Amino acid sequence: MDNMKELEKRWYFYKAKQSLLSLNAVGLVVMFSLGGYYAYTQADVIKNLFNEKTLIAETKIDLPKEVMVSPILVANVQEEPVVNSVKTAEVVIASKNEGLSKAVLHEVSLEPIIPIVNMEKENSKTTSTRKNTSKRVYKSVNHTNNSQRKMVKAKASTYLTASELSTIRTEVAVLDSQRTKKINLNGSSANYIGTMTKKFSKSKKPREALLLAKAFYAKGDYSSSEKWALTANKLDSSKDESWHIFAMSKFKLGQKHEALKILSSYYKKSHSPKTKALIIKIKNERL
Amino acid sequence: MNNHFENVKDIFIDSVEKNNYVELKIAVYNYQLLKKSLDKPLKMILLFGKPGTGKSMLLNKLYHNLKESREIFYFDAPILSEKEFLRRVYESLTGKAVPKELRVNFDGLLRYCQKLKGEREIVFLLDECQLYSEALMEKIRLLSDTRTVKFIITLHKTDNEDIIAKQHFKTRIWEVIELSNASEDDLHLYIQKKLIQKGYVEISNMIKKKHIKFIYAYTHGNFRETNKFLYTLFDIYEYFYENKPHKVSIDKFSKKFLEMTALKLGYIDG
Repeated sequence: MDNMKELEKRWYFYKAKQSLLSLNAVGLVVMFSLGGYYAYTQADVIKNLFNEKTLIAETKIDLPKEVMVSPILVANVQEEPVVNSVKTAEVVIASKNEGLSKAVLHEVSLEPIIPIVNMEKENSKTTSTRKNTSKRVYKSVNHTNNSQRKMVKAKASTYLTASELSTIRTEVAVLDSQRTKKINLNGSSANYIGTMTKKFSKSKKPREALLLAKAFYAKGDYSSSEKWALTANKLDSSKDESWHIFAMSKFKLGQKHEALKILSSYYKKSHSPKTKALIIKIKNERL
Repeated sequence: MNNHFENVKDIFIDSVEKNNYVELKIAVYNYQLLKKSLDKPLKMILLFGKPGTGKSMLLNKLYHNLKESREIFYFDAPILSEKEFLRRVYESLTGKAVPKELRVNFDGLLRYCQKLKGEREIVFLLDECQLYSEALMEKIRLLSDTRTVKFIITLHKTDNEDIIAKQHFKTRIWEVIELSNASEDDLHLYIQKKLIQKGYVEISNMIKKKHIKFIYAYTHGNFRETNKFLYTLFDIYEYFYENKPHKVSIDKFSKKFLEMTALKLGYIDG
């Protein structure tokens, strides 16, 4: 009799366990149904996400780490005209990913973007600065010449005397020294790089970064030139040159394929003849 | 309604009695097969199947049906001692008792059987032959070779060992009848027939297909397991009918009791 009571207890326990299992099963079904419904309602978001991922998978541009951080960004580089500014790129991303959450947009805006440096402006500015400087130098030289001329008057029809010749040589030496200084300004001397680096750390201007990139490139330090080109590009994405130096540095570092990829993707958007020319150069390895 | 569940549960006590034999289609077929085999000039016939598939029942049925018409002897329990086995065979053949101090000489028994060839045909039904030693099985084979003695033996089919593959069975047995578990429909019929045979038609009608399905899920149509299940089930019925009659419905078979049975027999964990 006790056995039967015990058995009945066991049966109640068994039924309770069965009920719990059934409840769990029902709970799981409900959870999956809700999950399915949510996924269905959010289908567009998922689709967008999927498209972004697909694009990333297709491009696989081997950019430096800073750039590769954001796959969405890479997609953007491909799709959007690169001449756009950073802000424009962000807006485009935002409009493309309407369904994405704010958090994602925020993340995009935080990611490093490859901007384009307006190198033409920079060049024109630099050239005009150089011209002004040289003019100033020549003015001073001319002024010196004039003062010197006042002192020594060369006779056209006669040979110069030894003292006259020594005066002229001094002037030429002065001019040469001025010229050397000018070359150093555009070149890659340690002094120049140091000065520019300090200047950049203060101003954070893309111009300085680009000049540094060029200087390093000229010096043959392609890793640094790549780095500075990227920095310049981040700060101002409006011109070709940061892209070009970046790609050229890549090429010099033996990453021809990557360099071509970057330039090709940029050319698709910019249609810049300079970029095209550079692509041909790199293809033919005539850089 | 009186508490006749006590009597109902007794129907399912596992016993090899001819009255308990339920004539299912498959059982009838096997019986006919066995009977026909006896008329053939075979020396040994093997009844083969898992425990609880009805081998002993079939042997028992055959014995009771034929004992009046043929010389047939049934050893329902295995005789493990060779001396005892030979003594029983001799006594069956001669009808004479062997004095306790004497033993049967096998060669003498063999010669005796050879002398009887053509005069008599004696059938021995041996149950649980998997327990016999190989030496004894060899002697059984030699006796059957005389064509005077015919053996019908039953063997358990085990998962680990295919006994049929054993050499002496492979070469000597001419007819093998394999018995298997009942199907779901056969099981339903088996339970119904058992109940109706004893006059419990009401209870038989209470058992529906879904209940059979439940029982079959655990017993797999094995007759011994089914008997055990139903015995336990009606034991539970008996208890509740006596102690908590409000919990017993006489119109509807209780799922609770079915589950309690499965719990008690360890088919499900509580």
